[in-house]
Amino acid sequence: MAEVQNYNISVVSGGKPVLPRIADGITYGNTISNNKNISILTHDQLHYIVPFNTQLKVYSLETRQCVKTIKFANNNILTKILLSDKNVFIVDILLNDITTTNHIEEKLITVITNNGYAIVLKYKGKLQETPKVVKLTGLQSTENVIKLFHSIELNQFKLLTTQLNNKTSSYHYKLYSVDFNTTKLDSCKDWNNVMLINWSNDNTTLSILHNKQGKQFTISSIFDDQGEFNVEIPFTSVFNDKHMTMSMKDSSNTGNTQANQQTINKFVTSLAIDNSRTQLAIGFASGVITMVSIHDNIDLQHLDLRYLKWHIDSVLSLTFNHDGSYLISGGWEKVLNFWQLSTNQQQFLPRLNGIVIDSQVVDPQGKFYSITLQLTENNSNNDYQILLLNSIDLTSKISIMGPMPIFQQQLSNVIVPTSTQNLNSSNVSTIKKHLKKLTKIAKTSSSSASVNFTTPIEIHPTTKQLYIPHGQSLQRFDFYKNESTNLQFLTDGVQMHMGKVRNELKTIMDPQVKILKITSDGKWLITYEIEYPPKDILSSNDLIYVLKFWSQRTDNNNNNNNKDGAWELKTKVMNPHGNNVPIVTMITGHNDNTLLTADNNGGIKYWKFDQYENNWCLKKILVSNFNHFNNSVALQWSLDESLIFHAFDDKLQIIDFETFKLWTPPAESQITNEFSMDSQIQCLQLINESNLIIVTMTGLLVLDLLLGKIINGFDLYPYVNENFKNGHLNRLISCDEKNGKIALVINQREDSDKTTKIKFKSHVLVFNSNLTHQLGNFTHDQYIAWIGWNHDTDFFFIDVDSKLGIVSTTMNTEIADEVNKEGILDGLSLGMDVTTTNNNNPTSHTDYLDELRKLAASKQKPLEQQDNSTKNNNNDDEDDDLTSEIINGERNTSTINMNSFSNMFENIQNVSMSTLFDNVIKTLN
Amino acid sequence: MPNSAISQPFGVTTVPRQSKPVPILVSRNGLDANSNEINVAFSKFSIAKYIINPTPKLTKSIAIPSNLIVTAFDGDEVYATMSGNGTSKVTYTLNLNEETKFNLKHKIINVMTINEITVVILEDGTIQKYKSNLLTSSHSIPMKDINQIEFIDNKFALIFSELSSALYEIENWTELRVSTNLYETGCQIIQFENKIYKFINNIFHIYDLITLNEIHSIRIPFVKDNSSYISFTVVAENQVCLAVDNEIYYLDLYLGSVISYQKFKRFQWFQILNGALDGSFIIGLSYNHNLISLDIINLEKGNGSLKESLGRGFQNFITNTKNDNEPPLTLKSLSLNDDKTDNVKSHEYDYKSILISLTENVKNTDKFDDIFFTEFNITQEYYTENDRFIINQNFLSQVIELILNNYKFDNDNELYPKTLTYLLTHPLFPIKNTTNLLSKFKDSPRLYKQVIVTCPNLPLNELLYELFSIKNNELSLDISLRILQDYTKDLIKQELKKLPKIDIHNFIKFIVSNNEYEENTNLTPQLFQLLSLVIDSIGLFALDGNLLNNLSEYINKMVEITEQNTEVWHLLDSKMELTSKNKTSNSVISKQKNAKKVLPAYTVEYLDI
Repeated sequence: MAEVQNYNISVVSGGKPVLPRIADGITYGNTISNNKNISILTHDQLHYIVPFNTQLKVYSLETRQCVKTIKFANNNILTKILLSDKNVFIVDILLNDITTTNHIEEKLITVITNNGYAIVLKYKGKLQETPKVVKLTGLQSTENVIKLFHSIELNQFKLLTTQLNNKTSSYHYKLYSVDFNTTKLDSCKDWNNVMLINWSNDNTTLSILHNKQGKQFTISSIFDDQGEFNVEIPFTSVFNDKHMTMSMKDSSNTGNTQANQQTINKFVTSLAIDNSRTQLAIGFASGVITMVSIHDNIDLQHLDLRYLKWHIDSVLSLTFNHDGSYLISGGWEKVLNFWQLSTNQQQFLPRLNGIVIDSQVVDPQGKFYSITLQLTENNSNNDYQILLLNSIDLTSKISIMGPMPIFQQQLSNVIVPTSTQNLNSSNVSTIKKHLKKLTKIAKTSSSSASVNFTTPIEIHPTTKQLYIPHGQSLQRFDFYKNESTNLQFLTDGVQMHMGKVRNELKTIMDPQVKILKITSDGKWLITYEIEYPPKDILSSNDLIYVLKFWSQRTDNNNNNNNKDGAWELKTKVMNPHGNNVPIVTMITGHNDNTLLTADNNGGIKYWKFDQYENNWCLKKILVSNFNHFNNSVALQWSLDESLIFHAFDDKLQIIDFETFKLWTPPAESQITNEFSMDSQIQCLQLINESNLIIVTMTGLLVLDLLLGKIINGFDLYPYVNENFKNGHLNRLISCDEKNGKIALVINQREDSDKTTKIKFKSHVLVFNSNLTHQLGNFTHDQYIAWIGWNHDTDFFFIDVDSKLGIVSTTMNTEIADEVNKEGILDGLSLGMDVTTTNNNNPTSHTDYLDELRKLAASKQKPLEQQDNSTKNNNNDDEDDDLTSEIINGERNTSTINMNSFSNMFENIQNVSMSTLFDNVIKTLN
Repeated sequence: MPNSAISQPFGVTTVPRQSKPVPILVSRNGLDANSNEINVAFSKFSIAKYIINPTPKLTKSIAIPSNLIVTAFDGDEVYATMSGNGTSKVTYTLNLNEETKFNLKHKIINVMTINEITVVILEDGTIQKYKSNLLTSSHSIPMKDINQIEFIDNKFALIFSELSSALYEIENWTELRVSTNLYETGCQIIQFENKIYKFINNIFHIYDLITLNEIHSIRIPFVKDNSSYISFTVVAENQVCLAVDNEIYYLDLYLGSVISYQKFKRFQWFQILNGALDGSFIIGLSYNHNLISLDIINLEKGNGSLKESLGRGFQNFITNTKNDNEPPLTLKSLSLNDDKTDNVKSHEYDYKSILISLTENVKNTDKFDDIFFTEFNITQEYYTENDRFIINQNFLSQVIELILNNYKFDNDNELYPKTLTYLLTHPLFPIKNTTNLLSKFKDSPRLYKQVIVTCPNLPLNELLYELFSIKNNELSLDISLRILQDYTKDLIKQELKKLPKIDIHNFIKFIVSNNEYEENTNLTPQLFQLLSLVIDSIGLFALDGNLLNNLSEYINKMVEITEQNTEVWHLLDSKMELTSKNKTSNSVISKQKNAKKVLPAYTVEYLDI
């Protein structure tokens, strides 16, 4: 079929929720104790606006889904301000247009950037082309905005900024009053050497830990409506002797050195002040929360102290509820704590997905709490989950997650929250260390050090969801809806039930899902994981390798549990290739529920779902055959499954599936059963039945299996250049098996301008099956970590910003308009047809006769019926086309746009469902 | 060819000689898994029924007058004829049985009898149905000049005319599909299951039966244009047998490969007759010195798997063109930027002219090296990744042959180009040049050692031969490393079995009696591994008692050494723990580890076992 395909690239989905106030670990250090999440609830309390790295997303509390996105890239002004400079980001969102005096208009929000821009945006309806932008003047270039405080009663604005003193690595905080008419700032207050800062939920009071002739806590009013409020409490006075001696005793048990224990006991990790300015809560790295009650005649030497002890590792988030009756705390235990301050009773919200790093009361009435969780099992990236909770019953109203891939190497901006294990002697030194780390990365990046941020992701063949392995769990992400649909634990481990604290962080390593595959019918999920015994014991090196087969729950009785389509473990195989033998790679079959696994010594095992046993069984074994070990192993299965291509080290062997041994070529054959390449084979892909793409350390080669020789090749050496571990390159190469196309990602480092940030650029190249034609060459402005074929006509990719993109084909309109649509579909499914019939599938013979009969039957109906039936057929066709087009992410027909259906919905009350449906069909036709 | 899936033909009957070739038809039914019969209609002669197995035998025959040409037939009774060519008035006759005949106005293209109803389609598009020897219905479809009709499942008809092709349902004569571009003058068309196969101008076109849309087309490049007898039949989905003169090709049209091939030298040509399509045999006419015979060829039908087609692409069957015309494989640079001139260096070499100048200077080693190293811009004396663009194995092979043929390697003092030592480090050293390399360099220890250490893909049997004959510890270790690196256990065992037992005994004796290894224990794992493979392959019982005794003694000794080592290790280990804070001792050990890893640049990596 003469099918012309044009590829194009677009970034359409993904992105991750961001906490700009801890964005890179440097701008604000970790001086901000709470209020890291800047999402806001709208006027009507029906929507929640969440900042992502590329967009703002508006979630509806009713449907729990994203109802609108404001993409920065869709607007020139936003692009200019927010995307052109990677050091600029949104730090605060306020309701209404605050730049004008009569600013009570719904639908509007004002976002504040760290360099002093205020941008007014609509969160309902269409985005304005030229949003109002106000630039505040008077900020120094190194000064970063944190927060704009607004007092509605006084109609005053105060701006909190910070500045990093590079010499002393200390933070200087300033409070300005803002006049939006003149855009000028007037400095009101400032604090030097700030270690921790927080403000009350009603935005009136600041609590600060800083160093001013010795460490001290300062509680200060932001708006001086009732006169200035300023209380200064020396740091030492929050400790009384009794507490000190007690913790000394503890220290002897834990085995930590005394000095270290001292730091932990005295290291403040969080701070909170209540709205009435009467209670100050101080959270320590040791897990203790000290409550200081503040009153008019406070005795600074003998404070009224109270200790709340439950946490066993650093208290990471602290906040008071709206009336100050509860203190809400969270930390490494993955439990949100509610301390009823009047009774000392505690309530818990346990088994959260991640450690609690932020908690807020988001509305003045205290109806909603927001908590932010960090999923620390991924140490390569910041994975945050934002939850909006109903404060009455603590049910989750909204859960927000981006795609959470685990990259091979750690990204430069990863923030690890403070715990007893990563704590150094002082707060300042960790910043220095972080700075050092960043400059080191920048330095190494200018040399030829290896960079490998790849990640393994699979696409479900039928639902097209992305399956993202996340340590011991699996995240499923819907590309088209742009929502994380499910996060499921696949392994057993401490993390599954609770957070890890203290020594557990170092000694207990949770099992890791290493390889994940889905069978071609999408009904089975197969995972391979490694279990690590605890450290520092004799058996620490005896890793356990586990192969697990999961099926999707199908029982209808249990519908409630099955709502999210969780996977259910059916079979677990311990050490599938024997003790201490890891699986290096595995692939699933093209047709049946089959699996091939390969180890690092040339061994291959064939697993198949056995109907009789109703279980997965080991069916064939190729015993480890090589005399050395290698991790450069790749497998491919010919489409008819008659041959297995097995790459080991620099050798490619052709294995006869039937005998499960090295294939013996017939005497007169022009092909050998073994090919030696010039370097280790990284990846194998089979396209168009007979072209085997071989990727070595130096080249991308096509072996024509029918000719028995390599017919084309590209040089990859400059781009691979030892960047990738064995087998990781195949994350950047993907084959469209149906159409015989191959997509290849080349990541390049852009000439860095000696800043601490490394810039990447990537190329996506699309080739035909024998690499003779380059069908597309696209650039993307970020490192692409993975590309995959969506089992249709498109390729998905994800970059290190967790943005999801698509390299898609748009079929030429001539072809789409062709009268006989069945023919096109037949052509597309040709590959599969052939293989099934070639395998002597007994049903195939009668299939076409059935089709003929159907065709005849449809033609022979009486005329009017025939009309109907053809119409129906057409409708079916249209429906199919429509869904496929929507799946493809774009619609080619110009007749349908957002307003096409609007007439229909005007009178929707009295319309029956079927009429509505007919109307929809009519519009579509 | 011994392994051909196409058998030699066996004759069913000779075809009566005619002045001009006349149509011979084979019925659609018969000769399949359930039937051993075949119906053949010889124009101007007879309609005959044969039993094929065990020996072809005529069981029934209806004589046809010598002026009548059979245009269609079904079974052994119903047939249609037209009167012969000479007369001006042509008559068309339908014979329903011996008694009943109908004269019709037009040529009968095809006829089918099912449940005592006979369906007849005429050239002008008239369709007639007969029951109990009576015409029951006549219907005309809007098609003229029909050339070919295929009945499908007794319910549908696929009708081809010059102007259009159509798919009909027979019961009510509803037109299901029409296509105007399917049929071409001079094409051969066969419908098989859900596809229609058309062959014209050396191209196979495949159409979908349901939609009549073309889904695939493939050119058969090795069919010569002057071939006069081309015929084909479909044996399975996407698999056809194509007869070109006296050659038969069994083709996979989907993959584009020749699964099997047979040439019948005793025939001038072989023509495949279409009819019963079962796939496991081909019926055809063979022509040999004016003798035409109806033959049957058995076909070992494949399953269309990639396995059958490996290395059998069409291109490999083109014998006329020489391989030289093909441009040599080059490693192209990816053009990442739209500006294609940017940064893209060409790495295409003019291999031909380089080879010519090399040949001219083959006696002058310096010049030879100079040409080779400068042309390819090689900076080191061994292969590095910078040389990855030299991937033309044909060229490499030619250069190697050039050197090997022009130089002698009788001792280390002989001069030879450095190119040779470079090429020996090239990972793409052609396999065909590795044979006899070891014996060739036997007298030049320097080259001999290098071949073992750096040259890939040395033949296993030669390596084993050298291993068992050599009495040099270092070399035997190198060889054993090379064997273990390049070959799998299975292959080694397989090859060992072919070797004379005495060699193996000697090898075991050599290892067992050799005491030098005791001192250098970290070199022995490879030899141990090889020893275990050797014993595995011949079996312990093949060894005589004496040798077995020695072997067990040797092993005991080794085990003792290992035990001692383990104890020493534990001792060290516990000591180390005590002094773990003493960093100097740590660094010494790590230094030792590092020192071990320094290897000469040209050697293969030592194995981690």
